[in-house]
Amino acid sequence: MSDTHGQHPSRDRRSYRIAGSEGRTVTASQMAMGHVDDLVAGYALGALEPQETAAVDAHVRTCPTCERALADAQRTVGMLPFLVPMRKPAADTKATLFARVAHVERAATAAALPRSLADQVRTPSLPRSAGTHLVDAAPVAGSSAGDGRSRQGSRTGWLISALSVPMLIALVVTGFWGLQLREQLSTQDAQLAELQSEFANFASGTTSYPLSPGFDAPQAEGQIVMGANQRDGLLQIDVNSKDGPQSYELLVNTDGKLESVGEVTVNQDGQGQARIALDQPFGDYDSVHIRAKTVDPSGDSSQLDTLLRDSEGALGSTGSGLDIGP
Amino acid sequence: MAMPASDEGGSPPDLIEASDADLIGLAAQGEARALEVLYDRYSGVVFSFALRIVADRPLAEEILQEVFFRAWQQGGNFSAGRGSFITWLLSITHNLSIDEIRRRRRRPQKADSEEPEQILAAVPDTGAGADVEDEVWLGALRETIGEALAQLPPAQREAIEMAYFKGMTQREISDSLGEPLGTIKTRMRLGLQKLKDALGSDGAQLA
Repeated sequence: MSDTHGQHPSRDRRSYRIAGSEGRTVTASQMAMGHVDDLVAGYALGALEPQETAAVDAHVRTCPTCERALADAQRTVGMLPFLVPMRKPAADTKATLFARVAHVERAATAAALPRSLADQVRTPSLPRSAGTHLVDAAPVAGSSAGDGRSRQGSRTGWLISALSVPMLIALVVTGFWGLQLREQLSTQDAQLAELQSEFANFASGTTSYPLSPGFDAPQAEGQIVMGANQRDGLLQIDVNSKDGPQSYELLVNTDGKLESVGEVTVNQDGQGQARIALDQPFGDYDSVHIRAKTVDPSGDSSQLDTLLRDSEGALGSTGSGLDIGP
Repeated sequence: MAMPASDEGGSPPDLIEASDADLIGLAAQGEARALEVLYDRYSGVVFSFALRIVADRPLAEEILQEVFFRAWQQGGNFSAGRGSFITWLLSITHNLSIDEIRRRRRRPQKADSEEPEQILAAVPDTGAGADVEDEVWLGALRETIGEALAQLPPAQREAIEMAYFKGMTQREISDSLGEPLGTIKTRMRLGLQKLKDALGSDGAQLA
C-alpha cells in the first residue's frame, strides 16, 4: 500500500489524533512515541492521505504493537475481494497477456544479441502489408491502463499481436536463419570481390594449387593461386583454429634447400592470405612448405637453418608428388 | 491459501500440482507455463475484483493483464513468508484499480455512468467451464465474508466499502457524507475490528 503513497515522513508537520487521546493532537515525530491505532484501519483500507500513510510507515518500523495491529487489519481487508461474485474474463485477455510476455521475452533475447544483428531482429525488413502493423502494435513494458481511446487501440494491437504470435515466431526464426545465411553470403561475396581484385593483375591463365594438410595440422587447408606468369600469386590458408593471430611463412624447396619467399598472418578465425612473388616460375620448385613462424624468447624470428633441421610444425605442403608445375 | 487448480489452459500436470510460491518462482525465471497455471487459477478472482472497483469491463481486463504481467516481472520480490500469493496478487489489483478510478475521478464523468454493482451484474457469471471445486470453495468464502459484513452497522459497512471499493480517503468520505472526520475514522476502525472477529480463522487461512 505504501508504494502508492511514497512520501517521506521526516519533514511531516501534520497533526494526528492518537487513539484514546481525544482532543489532543501530535506531530508525526511525536507519533513515534505513541501508537497509531486510529490510523491503522484507514491504512489497511488505503484511505489515508499520503502524509498519514508515510507517518504510519515510519511508526510501524519501530513499534511491534502497531505493526502487529496493522498486519491483522491487512489480513482482514485482504478477504474483501472474495466478496465479489466471480466473473470470467474474455478468452482473448489471456492470449493478449501471453503475447505481451512473449514480446518482452523476444525483446530481451534480441537485446542479448550483437548490436548489428539485434537491430535487424528488432526491425525485420518484412513487407509492410505483412508485418508492419505487428511492430506498431508492440507494447510499452510497464504501461498501465490509459484513457479509453488509447486503451482500445492497445487492446486491438494486442489482439492482433496475440493472433499473430505463431506467425511472428516463425518469421523471427526463419529470419534469424536468413540473416545468418545472408551474413555468410555477404562474407563470401566480399572474399570473392577481394579475390577478383587480387586476380585482376593476373588476367587469364591463373592456376590453383591446393595445399595438402600436414601431419601436425590435419585440419588445415589452403591453396596457392598463381598468375599466368607463374611468378606472382596469392597464398590462402585456413588453419581451422581459433588460437588467435599467428604468422606462417611460405618456403620453397629447391634441391632440398628451403627458402622463405613470403609470409602470411591468419586472423582470429585462423584465415589469412598474402601476395607472393617468386624468383622463378612456380613449377621450377620441387615443393613448397608452410610452417608456423616461431619466435624465440629474444623476440627474433627463428632462423631458416633451424627450420631445415626440424620439420615439426609443418602446416602443409604441396608435397613432391603433387603436380605443381605446368 | 491455494485454490484448487483448474486445467483450463492445458498446462503440464506437474505444474498444475505445484504450489503458488513455486509457480511464481518459476515464472520469475522465465517459465511462461507457470504463469499460465497461476493465471488459470486466479484470473477470475482478479478480474472480478478489478471489475467491482473500476466498473468497466475492458478496463478491468486491462488491469487483469497488467496484474499478471507485473507478477511475472516482479515475481522475484514475492516472499511466501509475508503472506499468500493471492493476497499479494490482489493487493496489486487493488492498487492498480484504485489508481485508475482516482485518475478517472479527476476527469469529467459521463452522466450515465453505471454503478459497479450494475456492471458486475451485467457480466455473465463464470458458469460452465469453471472448476466446480473452485466454485464451491469461492462460494462458501463469499458467503462467509458476506455474512460477516452484513453483521456490521450500515454506517460502518458503508465507510469500509467507500474506502476499499471506491478508493475514497477518509477525508473524502467525511466530505461526501457530511460527517466529522473523526467519526469516519472510528467507523472504519470499529467496523474492521468486528469484521476481523467475525471472520476469525478464515482470515488467517488466506494470509
